[in-house]
Amino acid sequence: MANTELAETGVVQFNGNPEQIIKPRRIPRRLKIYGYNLITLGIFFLVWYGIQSSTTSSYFPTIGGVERAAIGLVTKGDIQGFSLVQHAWASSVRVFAGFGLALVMGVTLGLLMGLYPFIYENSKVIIEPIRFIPPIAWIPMSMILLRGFARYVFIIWVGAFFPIFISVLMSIPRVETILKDSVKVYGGSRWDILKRIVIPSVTPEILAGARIGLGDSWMCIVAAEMIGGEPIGAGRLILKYADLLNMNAVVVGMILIGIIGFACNEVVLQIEKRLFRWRSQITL
Amino acid sequence: MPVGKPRIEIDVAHSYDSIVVLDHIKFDVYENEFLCILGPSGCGKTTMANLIAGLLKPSVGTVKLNGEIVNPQKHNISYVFQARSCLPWRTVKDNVKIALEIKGISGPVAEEKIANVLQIVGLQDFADYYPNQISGGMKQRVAIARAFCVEGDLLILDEPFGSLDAQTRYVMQMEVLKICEKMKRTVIFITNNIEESVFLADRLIVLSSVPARMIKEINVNFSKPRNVTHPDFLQLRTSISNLSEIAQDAVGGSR
Amino acid sequence: MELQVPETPVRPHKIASTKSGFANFHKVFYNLLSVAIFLLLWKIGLSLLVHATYFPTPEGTIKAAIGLILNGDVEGYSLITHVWASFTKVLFGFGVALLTGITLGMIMGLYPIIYAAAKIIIEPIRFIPPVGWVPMAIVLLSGFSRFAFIIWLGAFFPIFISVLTSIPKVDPVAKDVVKVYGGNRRQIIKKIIIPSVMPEILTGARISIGASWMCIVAAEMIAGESTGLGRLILKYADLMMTNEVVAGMLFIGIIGLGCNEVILQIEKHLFKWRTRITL
Repeated sequence: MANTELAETGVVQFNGNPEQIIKPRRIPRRLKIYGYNLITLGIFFLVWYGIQSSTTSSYFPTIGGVERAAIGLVTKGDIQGFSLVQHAWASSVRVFAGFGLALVMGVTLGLLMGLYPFIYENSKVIIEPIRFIPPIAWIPMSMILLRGFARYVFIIWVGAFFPIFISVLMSIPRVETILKDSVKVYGGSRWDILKRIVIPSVTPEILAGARIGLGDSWMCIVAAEMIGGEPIGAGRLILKYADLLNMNAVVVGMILIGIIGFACNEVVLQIEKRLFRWRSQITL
Repeated sequence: MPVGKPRIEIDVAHSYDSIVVLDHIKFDVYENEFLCILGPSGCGKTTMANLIAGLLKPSVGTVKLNGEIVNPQKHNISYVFQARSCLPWRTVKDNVKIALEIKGISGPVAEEKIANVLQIVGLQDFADYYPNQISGGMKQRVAIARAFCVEGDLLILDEPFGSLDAQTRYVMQMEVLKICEKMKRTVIFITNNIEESVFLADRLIVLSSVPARMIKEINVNFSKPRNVTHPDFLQLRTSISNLSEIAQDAVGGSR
Repeated sequence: MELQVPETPVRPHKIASTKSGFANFHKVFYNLLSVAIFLLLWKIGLSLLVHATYFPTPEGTIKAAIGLILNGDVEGYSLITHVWASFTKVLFGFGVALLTGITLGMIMGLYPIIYAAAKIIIEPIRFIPPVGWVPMAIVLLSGFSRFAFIIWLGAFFPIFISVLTSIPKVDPVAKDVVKVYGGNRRQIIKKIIIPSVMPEILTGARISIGASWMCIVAAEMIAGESTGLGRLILKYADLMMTNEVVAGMLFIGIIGLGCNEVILQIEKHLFKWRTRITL
């Protein structure tokens, strides 16, 4: 083998000035996005105005009309004298009651069936068809068999239970075996594994499932209120005004429903973000 | 040993956000030589590989291939990535094929090339398997096969054997040598393993840790395949590892 | 001395393994057992209930189901008419949602600046449940378009969001593979992005069809013509015939399950290269 030749290059400094290499930032991105958002909003109102001027239907909601209706509803309440707050409150209370119940039952049953998959695997033939019955399809039944508050709670329960149940169920086998083994190897009991590994692993998925369940429940309550109800509730509100062909008020009601739905989602999302900082990625 | 006009001329400095990653790297790569770039983990080697391949535009300076600014759409560059680069929805054969598809080569010519290159890396029996059915070493072999089926101006390998076990690693090193022997290519091989670089390189460039600077350029004239237990080999290897330690200290001292 | 390395052949893993016959039998048996237990509980529940007149019974439900299949409902519409009425609306709305969802999702996924700018409009609409649009749809639209619109609202967002969120998740190394071999943006989209996001699109489609199904039932109940499964069960609820209501509900559930299964099977078949399928 021949000798090696060592070519010395030495350390080369690039003029010692990092500013020559690092490029400066221009307009911050945030500001740009706000700008674009405003433009989109502007376009939206323009299009709305265009449609409302050109439409033949005398019922089409107008920008001005919606504004007036909103002010009216907020200050005076609806034609039967119920205030906007009352409607929102009535709907929300129903949702939370049903949702709470669904959460408790969903998590318990989900954990049970997740840890002992035997039960679920073998009752799939019953559970699956029931799971696929949309909660809304339960409304007629609940109208006959239940009264008043219980009716709504039941519908919401049906809407929220299955997403939560399934998400708990599906997340338990996903718990990494290596984490469970870490507890086992130090002599942990089954209960230890459950408490220290399974539950912390599964909680983010439960909350994600709960968020979806809450969204579904909200949708169900609106439907339930429209179909068979008492005089208060956000769903009933918009149907009332639709019957009166007052589309402006209907739009206000819809915005209200959207806001509450959004708020519910945001609350749970923020809880998720705070509690689970250790997660690298939260989805929509 | 560097011969003739340089194929690739590199003269860059690069920053990412507000951190200087490469502090003036300047060197040339010659035709058909096997150049190893050796540096500690995280010193910006992959960044440099991306700059050389034209995937990234340097903050300052240029990378020229045959006198023009490097452009993957114009030049034929082959790249074996450090990470798994097998497309999971394509079979082994289709994974190799994608390079030819992009370059517009199809038909029997392409088929022959693919068969040939799969033979060389030993995957001819696995042509119709999906990546989730083959091992890690095999996946890297697919990436290598893909790189070799394109007649290239340049072949870049970025720590291709980093995630493989030692046994597979030895086999793969021998294979790379064998292939480069058969199909003459200009090769840039990036690694953080001193023995690997001395085993494979015609020429060796040692980098420091971030911000990366060139510390030494070494010509390795032992004939290939090299004997890792030969005293000359071991001496060179030791001198380089001493170098790296000193380099580390130097970086620490200058802050 | 040269290094001698022996050849070790690698066995490919099997992707799916079929269970043995014995285990299959077990499953069937236990499933039937659970059905039996369920029916038993139902009967027990009945006997405990005081107001049992309207509560549905297992036998009554089965009779009602058979009756519906053979004779149709009280107004003379056959079951097929109802199913068909609902299904066509769902398919149409779902189809349009699929097209618009994938197209808009891809555009906004590839050019996220558009999504960021349009977010202020999209987010509020996303959060108004499709049922919330029903009163508006009743007044401003009529007939088929009424339902198609509601279904579109329900089906659009799951697909749109799936596509939108899966595009940034595409493996950057895969994109680099195309780039380094000289591919342009169009080739990256065709060869890498689309195959990568296909599985997510199908999952989104599955959720979407479930949502569509839910919307059609709701829309039919609130603002229906005389046919459609939603209207069917409401009709019987008005007549206090709970057995028929339950039968109708079961039909709805089974059809929903069927749609889900179809897409799930397509997913399993198309995506053999995936290592893991979720529910």
